Amino acid sequence: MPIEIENLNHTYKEGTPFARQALFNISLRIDDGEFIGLIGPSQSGKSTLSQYFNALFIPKSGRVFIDGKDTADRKTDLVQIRFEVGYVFQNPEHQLFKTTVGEDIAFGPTRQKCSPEEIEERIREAMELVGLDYETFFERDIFALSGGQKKRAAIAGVLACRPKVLILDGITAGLDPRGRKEILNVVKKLHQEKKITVILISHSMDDVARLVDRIITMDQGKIVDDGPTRKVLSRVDRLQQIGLEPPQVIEIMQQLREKGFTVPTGVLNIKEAVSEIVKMLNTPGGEQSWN
Amino acid sequence: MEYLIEFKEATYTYKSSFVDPVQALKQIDLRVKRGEFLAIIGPNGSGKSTLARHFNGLLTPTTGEVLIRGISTASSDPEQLKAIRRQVGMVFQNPDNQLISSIVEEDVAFGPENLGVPPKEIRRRVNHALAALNIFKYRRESISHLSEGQKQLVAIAGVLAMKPDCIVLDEPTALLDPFGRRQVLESLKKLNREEGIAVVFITHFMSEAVHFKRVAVMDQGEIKSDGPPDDIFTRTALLKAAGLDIPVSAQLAEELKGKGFPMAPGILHVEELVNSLCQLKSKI
Repeated sequence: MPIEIENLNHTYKEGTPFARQALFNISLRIDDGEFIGLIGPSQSGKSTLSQYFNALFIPKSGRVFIDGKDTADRKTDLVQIRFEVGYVFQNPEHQLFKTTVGEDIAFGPTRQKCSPEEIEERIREAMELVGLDYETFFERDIFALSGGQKKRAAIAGVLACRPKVLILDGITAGLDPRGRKEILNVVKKLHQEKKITVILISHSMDDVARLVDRIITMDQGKIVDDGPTRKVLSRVDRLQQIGLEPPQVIEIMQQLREKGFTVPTGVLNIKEAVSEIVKMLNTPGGEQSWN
Repeated sequence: MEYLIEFKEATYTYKSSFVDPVQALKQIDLRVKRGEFLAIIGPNGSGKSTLARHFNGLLTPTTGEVLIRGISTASSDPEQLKAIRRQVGMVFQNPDNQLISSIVEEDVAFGPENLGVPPKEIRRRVNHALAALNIFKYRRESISHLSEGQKQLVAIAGVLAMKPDCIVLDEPTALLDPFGRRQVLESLKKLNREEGIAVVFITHFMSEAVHFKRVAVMDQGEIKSDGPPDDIFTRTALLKAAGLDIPVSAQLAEELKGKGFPMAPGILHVEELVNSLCQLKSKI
């Protein structure tokens, strides 16, 4: 189910002295099976925009089509859209509200009027996908979960609705490097095996560099860049201008270039950087002349 | 010499009626001197936050003791506890949990007001704290209009206005964007350098820990290693065992060393890597 946005504007507290426009004339299209990183500094409009992706916001100015259906059309089944486009919020505590993990994950499919057998099957599948052991965690109290486990439980609750699109807002914030890797591996698996369209909203350039195919960069309510990961991340000046830091490997390549070495800046991981640096060291000369 | 903060064989066990007791701290011996700039790193669940809450007596050790300028945090004298909380200030991950007034300068004034500081002195301290953190121009703003990074600076200013000897920050940058993270880190460097305030900074981000003069690694309730960053971050086996990242520049240097290139020892920062590569290239 593709998502199409046309000339979208959003203003908070419209018509009051506190009105603040958060989105300016946004147009974009997200196709099935894409893996997208949505990046930008705080308050750039990322979360506002993504709440249009599953019709939590309905446009007053501009249009949003999800699977070809206009979300502002009264005949569109918004509840169905929200089941199909799952949203995982930054703070899992805003999302988990039942007492136990099992009850929480069951909530979505129960609303979808699934049979008890179907609900049971979906809970098992969702818990397995996020790596929470069914026997251990099904009856576990939400309060007895660690930060990383809560995030997994929140994702499982959304997966149990069998979404076609998954929006993940800051899911790695507050997790340690190991927890981050584990949760991102879960996301990668969902994209590859379940063919779910994933939109990853993140502050971590290293995370998006490692995973996504396409990056949309936002600043002050506008889209300032949109393209393949390698291309967007290698535009170091543009990222720094809006207060983002390129992945460190790219910063290293950039500084080497400033010292006059001929290396490409578009590297996405340590392996690629090492191979480029070795190539540079083994090339006789290799330095551009300064004068 | 007298230490500012001293952990002596401190342990802490969480007891709850739901789950078995969990020993979160095991035999912690840690000493912090005046003006130190210390980062504590460790994976989730390693005991970092439990440790942080011991620095000013929010938690007291189950066995062993924690001394702040020689006074035990388990002291039953309320005056002494008050002194401890004034000397060691705390900043938490989410500034919304810590900010209580609606206007910036009112929030910063809250601490000194409660210490019974005279109004003129409060005014002076608030202005000083706001200026030191570069948020003086927002003093009359509503806190809800600030970015998360700015809110965290207000929380730090609130602690600074109590004139602490040490500020303990428990993952203060975890929810911030890169710009906010940089602002907080730069402000702390300045407070440490210009005001001589000791900083204890708990983080997951190795890229932040490399800026500190001393780094302690926690894992499974113990301090596994404690020393200058160039020493800590070259112990790759220890960091990997704790599930932590090695700084990217150090990883690259290590990989290049493995391929037979004579890289300079102890590379942590991008500049150091680039300089080492420049030297190498000029010799080839």
